[in-house]
Amino acid sequence: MTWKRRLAALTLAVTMLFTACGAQQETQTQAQGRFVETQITPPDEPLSAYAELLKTPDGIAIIDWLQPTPVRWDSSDLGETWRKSELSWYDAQSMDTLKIAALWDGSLLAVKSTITASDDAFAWRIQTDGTVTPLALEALKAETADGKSVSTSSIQPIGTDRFAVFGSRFTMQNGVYSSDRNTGLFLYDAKGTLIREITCQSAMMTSNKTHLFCMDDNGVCTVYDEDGNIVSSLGGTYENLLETEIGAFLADENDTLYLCSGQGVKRLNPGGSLQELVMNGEKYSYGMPTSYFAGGILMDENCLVFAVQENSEHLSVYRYDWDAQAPTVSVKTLRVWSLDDSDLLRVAVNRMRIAYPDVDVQLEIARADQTSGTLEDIVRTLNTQIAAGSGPDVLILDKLSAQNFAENGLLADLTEVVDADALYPAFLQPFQTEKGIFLLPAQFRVELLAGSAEEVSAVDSLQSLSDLVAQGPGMTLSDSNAEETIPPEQRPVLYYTDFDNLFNVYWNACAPALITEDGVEQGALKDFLEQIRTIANHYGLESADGWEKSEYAIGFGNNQMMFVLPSSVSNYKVDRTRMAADEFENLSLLELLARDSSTGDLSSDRASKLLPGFCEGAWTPQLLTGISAGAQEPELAQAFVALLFSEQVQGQEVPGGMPTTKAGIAAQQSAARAQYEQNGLSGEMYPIDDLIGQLKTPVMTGENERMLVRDAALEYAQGKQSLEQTVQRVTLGLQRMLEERS
Amino acid sequence: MRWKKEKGKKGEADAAALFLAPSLAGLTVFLFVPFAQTVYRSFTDALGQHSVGWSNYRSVLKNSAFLLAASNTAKFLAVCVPCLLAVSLFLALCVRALRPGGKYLKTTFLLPMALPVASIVVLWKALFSQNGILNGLLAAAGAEPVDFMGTDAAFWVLILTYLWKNSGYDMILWLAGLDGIPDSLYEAAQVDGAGKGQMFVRITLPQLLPTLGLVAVLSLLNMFKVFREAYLVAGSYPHESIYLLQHLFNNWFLAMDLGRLSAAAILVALALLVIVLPLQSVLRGEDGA
Repeated sequence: MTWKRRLAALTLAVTMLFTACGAQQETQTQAQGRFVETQITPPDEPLSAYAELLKTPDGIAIIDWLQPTPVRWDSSDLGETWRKSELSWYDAQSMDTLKIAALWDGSLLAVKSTITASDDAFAWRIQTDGTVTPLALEALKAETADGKSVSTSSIQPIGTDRFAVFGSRFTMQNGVYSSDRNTGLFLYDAKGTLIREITCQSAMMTSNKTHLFCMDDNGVCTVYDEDGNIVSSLGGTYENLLETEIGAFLADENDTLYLCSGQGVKRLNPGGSLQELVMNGEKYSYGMPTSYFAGGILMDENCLVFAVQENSEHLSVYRYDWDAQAPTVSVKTLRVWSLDDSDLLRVAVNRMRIAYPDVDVQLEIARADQTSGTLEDIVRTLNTQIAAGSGPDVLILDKLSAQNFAENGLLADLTEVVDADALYPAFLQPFQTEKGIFLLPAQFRVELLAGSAEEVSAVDSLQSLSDLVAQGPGMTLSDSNAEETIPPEQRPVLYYTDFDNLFNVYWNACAPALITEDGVEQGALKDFLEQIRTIANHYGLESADGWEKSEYAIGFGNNQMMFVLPSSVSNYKVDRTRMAADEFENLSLLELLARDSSTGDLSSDRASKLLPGFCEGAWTPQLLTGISAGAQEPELAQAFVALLFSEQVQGQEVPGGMPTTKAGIAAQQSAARAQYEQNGLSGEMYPIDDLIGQLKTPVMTGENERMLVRDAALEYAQGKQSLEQTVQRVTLGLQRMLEERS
Repeated sequence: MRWKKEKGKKGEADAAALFLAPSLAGLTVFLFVPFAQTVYRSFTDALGQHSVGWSNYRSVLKNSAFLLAASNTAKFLAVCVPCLLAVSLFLALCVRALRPGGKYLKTTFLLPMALPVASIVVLWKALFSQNGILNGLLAAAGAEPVDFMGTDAAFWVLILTYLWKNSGYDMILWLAGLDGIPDSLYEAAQVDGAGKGQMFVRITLPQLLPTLGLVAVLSLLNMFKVFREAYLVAGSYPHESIYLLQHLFNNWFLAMDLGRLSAAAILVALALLVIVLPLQSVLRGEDGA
């Protein structure tokens, strides 16, 4: 090689080496800075859900006019300390519900939330000394002509002595709400004299001292000056932002806009088109699945204050300060793996992120959508990771062969992680082994039979229930008579949307008796298949279409989450069926089942009990939790599991299942009891402890077994094969599975 | 001089080792190390952390699912490999006899090999399902429909699929072997008055022994690929007649029963070694001659 070539090779090598070192150096630099959450809820009394969070010249104010004694809280040190004063100016009779804003001089502007033509006074200015001056706001009142009402959506101060009121006209006729899309934005001076009326379709409004910002449903943000003249129009770039439910729309003095929702805070710079995520909601309390974003104020670009409704009754207030030194790159990573999504799991993950801000808590939902692959593919991927030593730290093993994991030594002992006394014995004992506890369910579900006390007590087996069904009318319910009352003699005994609905309910009541450690119980399997076929054929469920799925979403529980009422139960509650037999996963649904629809108290005529299947006290474990024996972060995994079973998490009523801890049940019942008592109902609750005391047999059969029996049962119900053929098919298929495990 | 010669040989050996190193590295990483790991895992628990001695092997040999899968696989091997060898040799002889027109037949017989597995599965379902073409023909003929995938007939369906798919490939190998037999042998035999049958038995077959070894080994290896069709059509738990070792291995992996899975894999490897080594000696023996 010539000396020139050697020199060239050396130069290249040195350059590459230098570049590699440089690149490595860059990756070693850690990004820093994030918002830090501090709870600053005023002490003593809890804030009502309608309390208003305001920014005043002195700092922060909270107006809580819904309390028995309306109060005002003020803080001049960003919520570190609070001064309480009575809201002497508030008169519940004349003022009713209010929208309140703080003006730049510290005075308050209060406008009734709903303004009608009969209201003589609906707007007031309250000075700092407490003087109350009614404001005419004629233009706003004029909107109530022709029998319409005005809903005051927003009040925004602008300039030094002006404010804008956004009111939307609506009518209520025969219970139907109808709003007028082209509604009014009214700009007033401090005395309530109209400066300008602006017709717009704003969905959100905010202001700073110089500008008013109005964003419509299409994401177009129009900027007005204090005289109501359009300064600029920022259009089209924010459309996708409106897909989320914005809790607060804020602006700073530089005209930088902030869109705040449970998903996080996005910052939009003036004249720009890029949205910068400055806070990921999943890492803070306002981003919890059970939280509702109730409002927010911007102290400055480095400090935000949010009001968060964390249960149905009360607000909490949090302050978020920018900490430039806090690292953004997490030092440790905790991986939580689950086949399906779960609200309770997300609550626990969110709580973990708040408690451990330096830990990257990754929630992996394996079956997130249709493209996730088959169950086998998912399990194969998981097992490959575990076998390679790079598996998740926490495993949620619902619908998987959880016991295989435990028996093969793949899970760590939970004995020291979860307090055994915290769980009901029914949920703990099935998982206690000689070597320890390797799996525990964080939730549970049950199959219940409900009906008149007489009929429920008469049904003591699956056979007697199917006989009752066969003697009753066929499926008389349809979409066409959904609003009609069904005469008692025409009411079917039960209702199911399709074959799977029927099968799953009875499977969860019978599975442990069909497949035992000794193998398939052929006699029980025959009975099971025959009863399923009887009910399916009687209601025509074996056909592919099924019936109309008229499920209702109902918001209740201790955090206003939406729960779905199964069709079978909703039809039963409105007397379209005689009984209901279905799966129950929430305390609120149990309460709904047990209560008289007209009085709201526990009914003495109606009763419910565990669906009589083939085994005593069947129940379905949910969120079967285990810690991987090869976890990369065992201590963090233990902390997460402890949090999942803590009262803080278990006390949240979410869809998916009821808590397995005593504290969780007590917390949820306590919240529900308070609601019932507030509504004038008795504090007597559904006897959940009695129900739990009857539970004995967890349903631990896997998805493969269930699908095998389900497919065979459907073909038998459709008449495609005889009972003997069906039993043989199931037996042989299950036999192979059991042989593999032996 | 002698020293120079030896030094020369050593230099050649070094060069050879250098050229073989990348290939050896690949074999080590992707074959030897995983095999050693499997042997190790067969003596440990699922995570490979604790030794369990011979209990995995004892458990496997007592497991009825393994015994069923192994016997099915052995039965499949015993039936389909000889059938494939015979069928493909027959096809090769026919194609050779029909020259030059036989080349079109060659292409036709090779086509099934080119078909994707998913297409074969669709074809399989169309032919053999309860409402498939074959049952339609049977019904038209007044016969009872047959549950091809739910009875012992599944075994023969699998055999048929294997023969149909692999005959063309083996035929090509046989043709190469046949082309390697010198014509002078046949000429000399003809001169001596040998008939076609005698020439086939006394010349063709003995000359094809090395090819037989190669074709047999490749057919044996291809036999395990038929699991793909069986799995896609019948799932993880097919009829017991087509429940093969791969089904068991797949299910044990899904259940994370890695200890028994490894032990069973080692047992199968040993069994295959017992079968393949004699075939290798057949191959080597003729080469040596």
